[in-house]
Amino acid sequence: MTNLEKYRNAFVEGLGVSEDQVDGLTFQAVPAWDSVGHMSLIAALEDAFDIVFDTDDIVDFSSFEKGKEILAKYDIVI
Amino acid sequence: MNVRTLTSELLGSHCYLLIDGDHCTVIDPGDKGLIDPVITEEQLTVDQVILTHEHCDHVYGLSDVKEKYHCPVIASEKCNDNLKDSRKNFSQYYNAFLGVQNRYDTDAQKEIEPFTTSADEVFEGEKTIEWRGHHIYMRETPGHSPGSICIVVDDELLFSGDTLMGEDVTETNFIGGSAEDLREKTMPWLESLPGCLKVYAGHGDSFVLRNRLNDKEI
Repeated sequence: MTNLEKYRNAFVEGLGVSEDQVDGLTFQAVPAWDSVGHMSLIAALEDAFDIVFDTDDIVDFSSFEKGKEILAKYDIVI
Repeated sequence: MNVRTLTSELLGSHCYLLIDGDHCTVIDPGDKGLIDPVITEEQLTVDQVILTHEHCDHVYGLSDVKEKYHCPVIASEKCNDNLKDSRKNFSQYYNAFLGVQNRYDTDAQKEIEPFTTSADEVFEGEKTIEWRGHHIYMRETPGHSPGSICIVVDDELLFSGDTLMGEDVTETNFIGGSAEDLREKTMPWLESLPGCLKVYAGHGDSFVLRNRLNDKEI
């Protein structure tokens, strides 16, 4: 599985959204991605890539695209 | 028996003291130092702690209570499992959660460090204890979290944790939460209870069960 597939799967599992909703998704664009769902998404990403996010990065993780930039800080290229 | 409500700075979660004579049972010691002033002033003996679920805003003060009062802590087995994991008890994410909320619509609140803790007496399904002549029935009510329980005291009072809230819809999208479990396992049981029960929830005001079940979406 590629990193992009793992990344997209984390959104599907963490937020419970469908695959076709994932690309370009932003915080609060769907009901599932509220502040509570955000934490489930973060947990799913941490599990998928075996990392632990810094608090500031969790707060800054505001979109599907922004998340790619943040993961790069953990040496994960999407 | 009196019920004393103490409200924590952590998301306004409630800790409840069930006071009978000079003894008490603590439900959800959500913050450090929350119960000590009352225990000291009223010279109470803490007989036990019961946890409605594993989330940090309900258990942040647990380790202090255990250390100070040396009392047993009762929780569901799943709750206990998750207490031992700072991600699953949410303390790992709590400050970030506040950060995300503050960025959009709320004022700053108290921050905490990630922690783990544990219970002493765990159960699966249901458990009943007698305490100073009071009947305390505990039952797993998954949905908000895997380890959630509700507590019925003397067939009069229901301590619902975050399983059933007075004003808000029950959050089921926390890590391990399940809307299906809430709907399929927990709601049928809640709906089978006497409607006259007075409900003390994990946040917000108390209410009468039948009013809430008939009122709006859970």
